[in-house]
Amino acid sequence: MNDFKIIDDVMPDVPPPAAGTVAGARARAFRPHRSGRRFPAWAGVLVAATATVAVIGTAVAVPLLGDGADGRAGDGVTATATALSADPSAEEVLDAVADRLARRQEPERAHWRVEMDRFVRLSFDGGKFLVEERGREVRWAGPDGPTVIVVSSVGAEPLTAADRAAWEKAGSPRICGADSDCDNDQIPYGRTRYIPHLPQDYGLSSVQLTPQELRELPQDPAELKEEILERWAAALKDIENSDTPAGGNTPSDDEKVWWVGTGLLIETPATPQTRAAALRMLSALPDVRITDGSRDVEGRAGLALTRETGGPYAERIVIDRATGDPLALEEVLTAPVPNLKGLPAGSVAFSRLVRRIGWTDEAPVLPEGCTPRAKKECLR
Amino acid sequence: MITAPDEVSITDPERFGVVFDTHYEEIRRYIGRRLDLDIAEDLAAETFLIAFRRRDRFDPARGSVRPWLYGIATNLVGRHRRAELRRYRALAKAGPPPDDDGHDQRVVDRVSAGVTAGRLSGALARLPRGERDAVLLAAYGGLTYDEIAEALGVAYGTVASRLSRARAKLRDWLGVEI
Repeated sequence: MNDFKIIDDVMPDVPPPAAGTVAGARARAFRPHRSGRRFPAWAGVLVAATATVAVIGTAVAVPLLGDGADGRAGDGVTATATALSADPSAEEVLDAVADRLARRQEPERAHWRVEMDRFVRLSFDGGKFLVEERGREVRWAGPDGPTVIVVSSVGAEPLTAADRAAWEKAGSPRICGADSDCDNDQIPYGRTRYIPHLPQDYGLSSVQLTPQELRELPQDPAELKEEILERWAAALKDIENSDTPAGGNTPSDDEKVWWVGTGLLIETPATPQTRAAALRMLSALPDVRITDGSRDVEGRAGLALTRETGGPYAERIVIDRATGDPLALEEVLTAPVPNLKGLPAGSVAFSRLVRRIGWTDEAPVLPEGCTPRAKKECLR
Repeated sequence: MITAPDEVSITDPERFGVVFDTHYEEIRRYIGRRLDLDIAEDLAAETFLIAFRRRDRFDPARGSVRPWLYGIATNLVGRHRRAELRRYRALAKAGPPPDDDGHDQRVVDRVSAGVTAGRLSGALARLPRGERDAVLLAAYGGLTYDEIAEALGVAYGTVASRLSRARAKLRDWLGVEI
């Protein structure tokens, strides 16, 4: 609204933040927390998928051991494996995938991008039916760090035929996902919000990494784990030394390693050698199990690392067996919960499906007038 | 409305970063236009710290993350009311510091109509706090009536009457339609 625009026009503006202050503020905001459930009550509306999401226990396709020494990702496009081997265990498959990834040559180009589709399952109208919201998220980075996030809102629909019938019975109310009045949307359906950054570090949970630090992360799983925990401890110390109020519990070491490790795989251009180390590091966590042939929410088979959280949701990352790149990061329902009525254990509640990941010569394109300070021009 | 990154991220420590990345600069800017920048940067960080710690109390049924963050920020500004009023009085005396929007034609137009940062500062200082909060959420945050109501935890009608009263006062004091 243009009310009181004169005040916005005339009153002095604020200079952009000095280098480093945003990262400092971010570190403070990311005060470590821990809860038994990964989601508070309202997020129980994140709901499981249909039967297409069942875990498939049989190994169907694995990369050939020892091949592809100079393997490259094809312009960041993920693909599923086709090569076959004789009934290896999931652990053997993981070894092969990590070996292959560690040998990959991956020169930096002008830009790095990960393009993802997001699926969120929600309970609607007091639990009368379930809806699925779909969106798209593209993260861009460059040699100097993250640059732009582009988030699009595709739409929401009743999840199953039964949900559609219940929706129609309820008078076909407008479905606004988590936003009850459809008016306060940051990203209304059909629109895209561009979020350009001023130069900044990579933020993975509480760990901040400069682009150079990201490049220099260890290539050995034990060393990588040690460095992640050291960086977490340092971030925690900074927070405790600040004048912010105390509170919150510290996550377990396993949680820290999982959050940062999956972040490295899905949100950063860490080197293939570091990513291979991250895969091994994650697979060695005590609450993580490895399954081959697991399918993501879209039915793409891959190697899944699934972490039990102690709550009704497990977290998992599904890896492309051909490339070692991530296919999906998902939250899977491990037990029925009251506010997800009718949804079976084993279903996906939330998913980010990776469509493309890697260095590219393509560049992000911002709408005219969209800058880190111009919010309105950044919604298209 | 997609719930991600905002509404989903806010529940999840790992993904809360998206909420921060999306909104930090506008929250910092909002507070920085009401308080001195050194205080504003602290309070902007504190806004997100509080949001992070209270994220399980965020109720998506009541609206989106953005007004919620503005509400937290406005409450924090309220703890520094004297500093805000001091700042307006200083601006009223000295006029605005130079800024990079100085050549904007709209600013030139307003100044030629006699509405300067000094006079506006004096007027803002005279508004009751509730009216000033509502006006500045509209002016700086671009929040709608609904969003202001959410941010301040008051009824829609209260927002409408506060803005209406404030508009009438500013018109009287400044001599132009606001």
